[in-house]
Amino acid sequence: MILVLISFLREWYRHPVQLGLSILGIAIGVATIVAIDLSNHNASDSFKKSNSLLNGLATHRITGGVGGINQSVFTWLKVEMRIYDATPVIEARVVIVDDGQSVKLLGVDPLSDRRIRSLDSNWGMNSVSAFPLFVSPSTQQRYANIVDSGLNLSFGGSNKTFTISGILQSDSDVLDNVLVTDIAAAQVFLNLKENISYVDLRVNQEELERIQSSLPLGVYLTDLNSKNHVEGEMSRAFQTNLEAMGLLALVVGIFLVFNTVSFQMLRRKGLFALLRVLGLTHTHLFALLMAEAFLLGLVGTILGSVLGVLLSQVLYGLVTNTINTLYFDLARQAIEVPAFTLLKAMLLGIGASLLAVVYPAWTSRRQTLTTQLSHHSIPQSPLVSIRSIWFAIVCVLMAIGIILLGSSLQSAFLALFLLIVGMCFPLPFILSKIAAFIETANAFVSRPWVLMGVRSIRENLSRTGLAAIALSVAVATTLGVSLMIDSFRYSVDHWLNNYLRADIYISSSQSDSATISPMVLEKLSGLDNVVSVSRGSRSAVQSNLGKVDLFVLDTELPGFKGFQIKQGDNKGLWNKFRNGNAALISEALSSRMSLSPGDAIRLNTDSGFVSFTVAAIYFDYSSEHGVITLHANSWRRYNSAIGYRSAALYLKPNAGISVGETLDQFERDLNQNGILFARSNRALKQSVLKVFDQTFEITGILRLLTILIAISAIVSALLCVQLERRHQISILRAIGFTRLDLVRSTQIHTGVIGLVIGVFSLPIGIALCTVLINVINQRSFGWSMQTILSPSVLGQSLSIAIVSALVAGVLATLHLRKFDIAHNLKRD
Amino acid sequence: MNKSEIISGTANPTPVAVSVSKLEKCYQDAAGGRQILDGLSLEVKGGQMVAITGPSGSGKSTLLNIIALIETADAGFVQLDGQQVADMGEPQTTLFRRRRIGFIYQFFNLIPTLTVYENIVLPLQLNGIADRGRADSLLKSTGLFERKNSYPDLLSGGEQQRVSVVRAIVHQPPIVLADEPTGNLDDESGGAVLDLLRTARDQGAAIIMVTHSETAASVADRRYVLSKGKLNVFSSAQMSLVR
Ligand SMILES: Nc1ncnc2c1ncn2[C@@H]1O[C@H](COP(=O)(O)OP(=O)(O)OP(=O)(O)O)[C@@H](O)[C@H]1O
Ligand SMILES: [Mg+2]
Repeated sequence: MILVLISFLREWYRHPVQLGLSILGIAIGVATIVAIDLSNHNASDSFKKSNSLLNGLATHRITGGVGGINQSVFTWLKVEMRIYDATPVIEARVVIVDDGQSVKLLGVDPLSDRRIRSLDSNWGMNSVSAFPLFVSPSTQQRYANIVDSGLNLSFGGSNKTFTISGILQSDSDVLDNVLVTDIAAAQVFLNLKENISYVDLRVNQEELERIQSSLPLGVYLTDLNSKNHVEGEMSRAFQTNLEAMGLLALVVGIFLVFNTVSFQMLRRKGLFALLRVLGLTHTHLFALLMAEAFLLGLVGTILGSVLGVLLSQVLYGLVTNTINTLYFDLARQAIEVPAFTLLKAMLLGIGASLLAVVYPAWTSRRQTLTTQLSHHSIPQSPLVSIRSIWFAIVCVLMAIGIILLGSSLQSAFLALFLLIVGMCFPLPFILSKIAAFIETANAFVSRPWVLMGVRSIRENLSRTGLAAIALSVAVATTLGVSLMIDSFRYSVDHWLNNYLRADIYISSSQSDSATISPMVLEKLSGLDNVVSVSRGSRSAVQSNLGKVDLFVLDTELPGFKGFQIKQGDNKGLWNKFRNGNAALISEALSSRMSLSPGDAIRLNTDSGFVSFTVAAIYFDYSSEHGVITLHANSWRRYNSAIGYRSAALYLKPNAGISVGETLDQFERDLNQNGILFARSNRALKQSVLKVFDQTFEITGILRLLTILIAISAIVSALLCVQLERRHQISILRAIGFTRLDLVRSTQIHTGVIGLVIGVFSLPIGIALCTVLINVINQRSFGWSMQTILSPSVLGQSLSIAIVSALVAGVLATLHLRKFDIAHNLKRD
Repeated sequence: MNKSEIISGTANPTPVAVSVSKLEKCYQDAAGGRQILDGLSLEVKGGQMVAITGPSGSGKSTLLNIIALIETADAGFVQLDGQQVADMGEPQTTLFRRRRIGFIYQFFNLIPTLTVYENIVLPLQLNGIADRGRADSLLKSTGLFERKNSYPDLLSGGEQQRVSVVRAIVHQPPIVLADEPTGNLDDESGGAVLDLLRTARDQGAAIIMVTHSETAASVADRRYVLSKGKLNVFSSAQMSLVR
């Protein structure tokens, strides 16, 4: 047995490139899985940590509409409800004037806040400022040079100098983007009058019920620990994307590991057969191979885990950046590596390696030793069989069945997985057929290097087949996701063009909660060239179906025309909308609450619950939760006052005055203090699309990563094939093939594979995109969108496949330069 | 009395090492089935060497493979060292081959990653034989001792074949099968290989050698021609048929 072992080890020692490529293959596969897993895990972990540090012991939060709640709610809680673990908070985004950084300002009541949060500080016992500021140690360091003069903060156009009066103790950097002040200072600075943002409280079940039963109108209780709360804040589109990419990484990673190890099994087939002829039993050989695969898997997994952790640093940075700019202030932390991820990596890395041994060992049991000993027969790969087509058909049918029968997101992902893998599976079979066809066609021109090139495709499919499948999975998925994002962007763009009909949009410059003063609203219509003004207020209200986003819109016909009706009777709709109790609901809301035209929804108004009829469903990508839109006329009937938070100006067309001039006039006459933020139609559209692009930026990077990994799989497979073909190459060289002939035939080999993968991936990518748009997106957001097959995206994925295959070809022929024919001729 | 006993003439007290009878083997290919062996029988006793010739493709290698238990016949009986192989399953067949069969190929089939010495020791090790004396003495007698630490691909064809013969007989198997062992060698190297085989026969092994070489065949005790799936005793008339 020792010698058998030695023969194994020496085999590796003699083929260091093969060994290196195998370990690298496993490592890259594992690294991908680990990196994506870690960055996802850490992002959501820091999300939770940030949340829990900021929420402290609070179990619930009392909020109002977007404008906050009156501070009397806090008094009511303490005095009437006798809830003592409660603290009022003001929260706003402000700008540090000195460096233009945007941070979160928290106004707290030091006395009651201690019962909820542990923002340890001496609370400025030695401070005498009316505007004290408590900052994290690193913030204090950052502004050390200007601390004496105080920190200038700006909100809604007004500035105020705050004095740093204390340091918050915290070991995390969650507080690095947070400034804390006392609640009175915040109220004055933010010009909130008697309002506060919310009250955080810690209550038990009995207290909870007590509060719930006597909650004042317009005030809501949210559970801070419910999963929805956490997830609701981070865009689901974003999360779904990460999850999908994680799944893809898993598939490609497993393929890569499996491919690598099974390649090495095939390569040494002759050696194994020889040992069997000499009397090594099947069981012994199997045990040896399993041990070897375990070792390879182990080394590869360890290396891959390290690589994955390094890679995840980069990814994590990207993920948190995106989350920070889009949703939430995230605590940046050192990457945490949960044991579970490592366990998963081990399981997959070693598991796939072992599996790659079990399969060929099992099939070789049924082969005679003589077939295994023969070097020159074309290895029959189970991949290259008509059965792979049947397999594909079964997978696709199953996927369709799952899509039709299931309704959950998970089942849709399962269907997606079946679809990709199933459809990519017949690739080797198709490749062999195409190679055979070219071979026949070549009979007419009879170029020997074409013949050798296409012949080696068929000869080596058992070795390159899996890598080809992996590459096509990656290319197809990338294509599908790209097409989906492209279609999505197109639909959003299209929708914006239609929806945003006004020329100028005005909102509060700093916070959504601020309402525009009625006086300013009055004066808007007095601006030069303004034909009409529509006003809107978006806030959350309680309905019989739970909390919903309500958009109260005071508009004339031109504004109404922005609604693209998906379902419902368009005739007389405007009249019903303006004068009746007709509500328009967005597509997302309709699918989330399964509401259709004709249904009723009851909303909480100042006069209690009132029923509104759903008149139509419109396309809308502004919210994943969905919106219900009412005309101000309807809403006013049941509510005392509407605090408008946005306004839109319609200008006289072709009046010779540009939008810019009206904007200037607005800034000059109505917005000296900078409280409001006015944008032209174009600027608003651009900013929405920018957010869109940012959301998908990370997906782009993950896609690139997956493609790179798949390319490395095909490169290493082709490289191995080339190394293994030495004997054959030496014979070819001996009978008169030039080096150029060999390079050409290799390029034929790889080029055809690349081309076929590229072309083959197109329909799969399109199918994928269709499922993503019509099933996954529908189920997660309720958004429908048009499928756009942009030629540039299609061309891109085609060229990725071809270029990567050609690069593989170039790499694989490099070794031909110093090829020793005589030496290689002798060794077989 | 069966056919082979008629052929060998006298009853011999030495045990029958290889006895096959009524072997059938048919290969399927694109054109349909092709009968390679058709009721073939053969008996070889310990200490006997038989040579088999026959046209290319007549099934000589197939026959050796069946006897070496690396391929199975469609029908017929194979009895090796007194054991019916039909009764054996895996891993018994492998263990049997390991211990009692030595195989020599036309193209050497040495393990490229083991040195000459290691290639030779491998069968000893597989069989749990600790004594390396035989390996050494065989290496010396074949003039390969200096090359014992070389890898096979640095050896000449003749040297490689000598190594593969030594590997086949080093553990003194009672049955040695050789498939054109001198096919690729010059007369001198071929002579060395035949010497080794003769020595093995003299020590009691049953040797079946497939060969096209007149020199090699002349060393054998008996000669057969394989044609139309059956073995026939060699005669000069058939010889011309083969050529
Ligand atoms: N696995 C196989 N499948 C199909 N046909 C086979 C197989 N192995 C051998 N054959 C065929 O069986 C016939 C006998 O083969 P075999 O190798 O036994 O011939 P041989 O007598 O040893 O010839 P040579 O003298 O050329 O070595 C040949 O025609 C060969 O093509
Ligand atoms: Mg033969």
